[in-house]
Amino acid sequence: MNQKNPVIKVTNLTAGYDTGPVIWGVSFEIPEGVVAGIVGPNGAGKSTLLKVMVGILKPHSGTVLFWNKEYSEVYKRIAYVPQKEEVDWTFPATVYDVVMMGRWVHKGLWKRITKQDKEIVRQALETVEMWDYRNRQISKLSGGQQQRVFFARALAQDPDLFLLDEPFAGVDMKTEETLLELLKQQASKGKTVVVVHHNLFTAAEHFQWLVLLNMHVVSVGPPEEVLTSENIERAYGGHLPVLAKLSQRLSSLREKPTR
Amino acid sequence: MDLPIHIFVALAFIGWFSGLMGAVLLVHHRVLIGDVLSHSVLAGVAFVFLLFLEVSFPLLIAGAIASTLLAALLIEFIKNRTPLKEDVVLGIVLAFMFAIGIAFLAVSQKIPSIEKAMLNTLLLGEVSAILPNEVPYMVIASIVGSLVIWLLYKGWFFTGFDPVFGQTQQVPINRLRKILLFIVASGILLTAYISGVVLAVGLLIAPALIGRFFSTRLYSTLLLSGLSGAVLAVLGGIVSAKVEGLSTGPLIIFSAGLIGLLTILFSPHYGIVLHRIRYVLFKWSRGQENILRAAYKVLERTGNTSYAFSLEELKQACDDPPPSWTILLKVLEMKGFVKQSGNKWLLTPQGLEKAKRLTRLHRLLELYLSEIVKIAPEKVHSYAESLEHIITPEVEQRLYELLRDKQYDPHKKPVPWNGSG
Amino acid sequence: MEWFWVILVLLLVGSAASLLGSFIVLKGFGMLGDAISHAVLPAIVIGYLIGGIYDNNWFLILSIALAVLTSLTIEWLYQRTRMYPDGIMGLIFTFLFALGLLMIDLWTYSVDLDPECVLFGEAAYIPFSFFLIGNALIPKQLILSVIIWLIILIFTFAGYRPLALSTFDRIYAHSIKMHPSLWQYSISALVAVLTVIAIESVGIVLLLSILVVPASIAFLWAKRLHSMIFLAQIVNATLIFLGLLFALYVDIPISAGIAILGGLALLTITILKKK
Repeated sequence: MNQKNPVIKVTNLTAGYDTGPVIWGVSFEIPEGVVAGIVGPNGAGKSTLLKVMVGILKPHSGTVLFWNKEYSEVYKRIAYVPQKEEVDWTFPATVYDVVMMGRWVHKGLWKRITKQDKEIVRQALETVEMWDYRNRQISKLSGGQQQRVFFARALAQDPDLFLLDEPFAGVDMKTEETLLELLKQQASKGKTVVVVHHNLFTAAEHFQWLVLLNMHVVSVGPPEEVLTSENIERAYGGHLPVLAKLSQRLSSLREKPTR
Repeated sequence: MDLPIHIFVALAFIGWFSGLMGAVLLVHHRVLIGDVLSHSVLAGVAFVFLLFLEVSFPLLIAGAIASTLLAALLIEFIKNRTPLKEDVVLGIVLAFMFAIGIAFLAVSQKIPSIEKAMLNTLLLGEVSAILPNEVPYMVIASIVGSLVIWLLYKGWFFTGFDPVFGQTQQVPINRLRKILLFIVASGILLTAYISGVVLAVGLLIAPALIGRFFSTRLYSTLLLSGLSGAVLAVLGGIVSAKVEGLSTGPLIIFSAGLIGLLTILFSPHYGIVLHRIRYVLFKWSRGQENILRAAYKVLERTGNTSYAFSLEELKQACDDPPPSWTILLKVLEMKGFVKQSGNKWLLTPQGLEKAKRLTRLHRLLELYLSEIVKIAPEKVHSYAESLEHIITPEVEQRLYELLRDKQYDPHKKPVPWNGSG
Repeated sequence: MEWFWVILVLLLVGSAASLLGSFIVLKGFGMLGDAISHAVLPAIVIGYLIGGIYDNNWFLILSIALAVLTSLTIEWLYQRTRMYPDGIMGLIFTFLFALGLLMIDLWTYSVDLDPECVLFGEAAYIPFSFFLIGNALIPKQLILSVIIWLIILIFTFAGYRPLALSTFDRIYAHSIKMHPSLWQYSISALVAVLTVIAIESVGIVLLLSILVVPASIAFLWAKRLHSMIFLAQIVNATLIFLGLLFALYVDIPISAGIAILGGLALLTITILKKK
C-alpha cells in the first residue's frame, strides 16, 4: 500500500441539497490498489459524498482530487456505478447494449465502435459470467444479474478507479461473493475500488481500507484501526447489540494474519 | 352586459366543487388526470347529442360520465397491461378521447339542428350559456360531490400520504382511489361547462394550489381550496361580464391562473418571494450578531471592556463577515449597542452584555458539539457559527443547564458566564 | 398534387415528432410534451400578430425564439419545483394557453389563427400558402417541415449516445460528462419549435398523439433502442396513411382521424399483448 500517493484526496468537503448540508467538513484519503469501503448508518451521507465526488452534486465548499487532479480532467479513468434502483430497467436495451455504453465515454458522439471495443465488451461480459445472456432484454434480469451487468459496464470503461454505490444491496449471496472476488482482482492489478456500503458487519471482511462516515468523518484507515468500539459508538450512536456483535467479529478478524 | 344572478350561483357552487376536486387530486399528485378526464367530456356529450339530437342536462351528465369513465378505465387498463409510464398513458388517452370528441363535433356540424352551438361552447366554455333550469342540477351535483369528498376525508389521508400504513389499517386504498377517479370523472363536466373542456383543469389546479400553499394541513387545504375555487369562478364571471368580445372560458382560467401564480409566489410557508425576504433579513441580523461577537473578541484580547477598536481590528476578528460593515455598524449604533468616536468604535454597556451573551452561546455550542456530539474540535467552530443564529431561547436555556460547570471552550477560551469576565 | 403536399407535410412532421417522442416516452414525460405544446401559444400568436402587421413571414423566427424560451422555463420549473411539480406545470400551461386564446380573440383580424385551428389543425389547407422557389411554387408548410425534420433527424443521430444514456441512466451519463440536462432541455426546446411550425397543419391534439403513440407502440414491441426508433417511424407512416383515408372516408378532421386510429392501434396491441 502506497500511502504517499493517494488516489483520492477529499479536503474539507461540505455538501448537500437546498435544505442544507448532509456532509460536513469531510476530509480523507484513499491509497492506491485497495478495495476501500465508505461505511456508515442510513442517512450518513454516503451516496451524497459519492455524487459530489463525480461532479453530479456541486459541493458547498471543499475539494475532491483524483491523482491530484480535478474530476473533469480524469473522468475517463473513473467508472461510477450508480445504485441500480436509480436506473430505468424497462429501457429497450439488451445486456450487450448496456455494457457497450461503457465504451461511449472514450468515443464521444461520433467515433465508431471498433473490433477492439467489441472485444473489450466480450471480455467484460465473460468476466462477470454474463456472456451467455448478452442478447437478453434488461427488463428480464434478476437483481444480481443487473448488478453484474452494471459492473461489466464499468469494466468495459477500462478505468483505474471504480466507484460503486451500494453494489451489494438487493443481490444474492453468490453474486455478492463473485462481485467481491472480482473487485479484489481489480485491486490486485493495481486499480483502486471504492464501495459505498451500509452493512458494518461485512465491512470488516470485505475491505482493506475504511472511511467511517456519519455526516462527518469519524475515522479513516485499515479496518482494524477504524472499527474500534469508540469509533462505532460515535458513528452509530452507542447501539449495544451492534457493538456486541461487532466486537465478536472483530476479535475473530484480528486472529487472522494481518494482510 | 350583466349576468343574471343564477349564473353566479352556479359559478360559486361549481367553483367550490372544482377546488375540492383539485385539492384531493393535488395531494395524490394526480392533477394531470383531471386534464385527461376533462378533454374526454366532449366525446360523451357530443355522442349523446348525435344520438338524441336534442338534449336535457341530465342526459348530458350521463353522456359525460360515460366517456370520462371510459377514459379512466383506459388509463388503468393500459397502465396495468404495459410497462408504459403513467404520464405517457395519460397523453395517449387524452389525445385519443379528445380526437373522438372532435370527430363527433365535426359530424354534428353537418346536421341541421338548433342546439349545436352548445357543443362549440363546451370546447372553450361560455358562462352566459348556463340556463336557469340547469342551475338546480349543478348545485345539487356540486353539493353531493363535495359531501362525498368530505365523508371520505380520512381516506384521503391514507391514499395520499401513506397508502402502505392505510392497508395495514384495513383501509380499502384501491377502492378509494377508484372512487376519487369516479368523483372527478362525474364532476369535471360541471367545470368544463364554465371553462371549456380544454382549460377545465386550470380551475381545478389554481384553487388547489392556493389552498395547499396557504395551509399546512389537509383539513384546511380542502376548505381553502373550495373557498378560493368559488371566489375565482365568481371573479372570472364578473370579469367576463365586464370585458366584451373575449371568450369567457379563457378569461376565467386566465384570471384564476394569474391570481394562483401570484399567491403562490407570496404565500407565507412556501412562497419564493417571502422566503427570499426572510433569508435576506436573516443574513442582516446574523451580520449584526457577528459584528458584536468580533467586538467582544477584540475586547477580550485587550482585557479592557471600554477599549475603542478600529474597523480593521474588527474585520480581523470576524470569521463570517457581514453583508455590509458600514450599514450594520450604523444599525447597531441606532439600537444603542455601539458608539462611534472619531474613527474608532466603542461597545455600550448594553452592547457589551449582548456581545457577551452571544459569545457564551457560541462557546457553549462548541462545547456541546465536541463533548456530546463528539465532533472533532477543529471543526466545531464552523458548525457553531451556523447554528448559533437559529437557536431558540429554550434551547439556549437547556445548553446553560447542561454545561453549567464548564469554564473553557474546546479551544481553551473562557466561557463568559454572567459575573465572570 | 395537393394531397401529395398534405401527405408529405404530415409524414415529415410525424416523423420528427416520433423521433423526439421515443425519448419522451422512455423518460415518461408525456404530459410535459402536452404542457409545452399548449404553453407556447402566446409565443405563436405574437409572431403571427407582428408578422401579419408587417406582412412578413420571417416573424416566425420571433415565435420560435419565444416558444423556446417558454419551454425552457417550464422544463426548468418542472425540474426545480419540489412541491407538486405537476400542479405548477398544469397551472402555468393552462394559464398561458388561456392567454394565447384571449390574444387570438383580441387581435382576431390581424392574427391568422382561430381556436379550432390551434386545437385540431387544418391539414387540408397546407397547399394554400406558397413560396416561390426558382420556377416552382412550394407550399410554405412543406419547406418549414423539411427544415425542422432535418434538424430533429440530425439531432437524434448526433445525440444518439447521450440521449440514450441520459434516458437510461442519468447519473452515469452525468458522471461521464455527457450533460444529461442539456439534452433534456434540447428535447423540450425542439418540441416547442415543432409546435410552432406544425400547429397550423396538425394542431395540438394530433401533435400530442404523434409524439407519444407511435413511440409507445414501438416501445411495446422493440427490444433495443435503435429498433424502437426505427419501428416508431414505420408505425407513424402507417398511421398517417390509414388515418388520412379514414378521416376522408367518414369526413372528419384529418388530425382527429389519425389520432383516433393511433389510439385504437395502441389499445389493440395492449389487448393482444400477453401480460
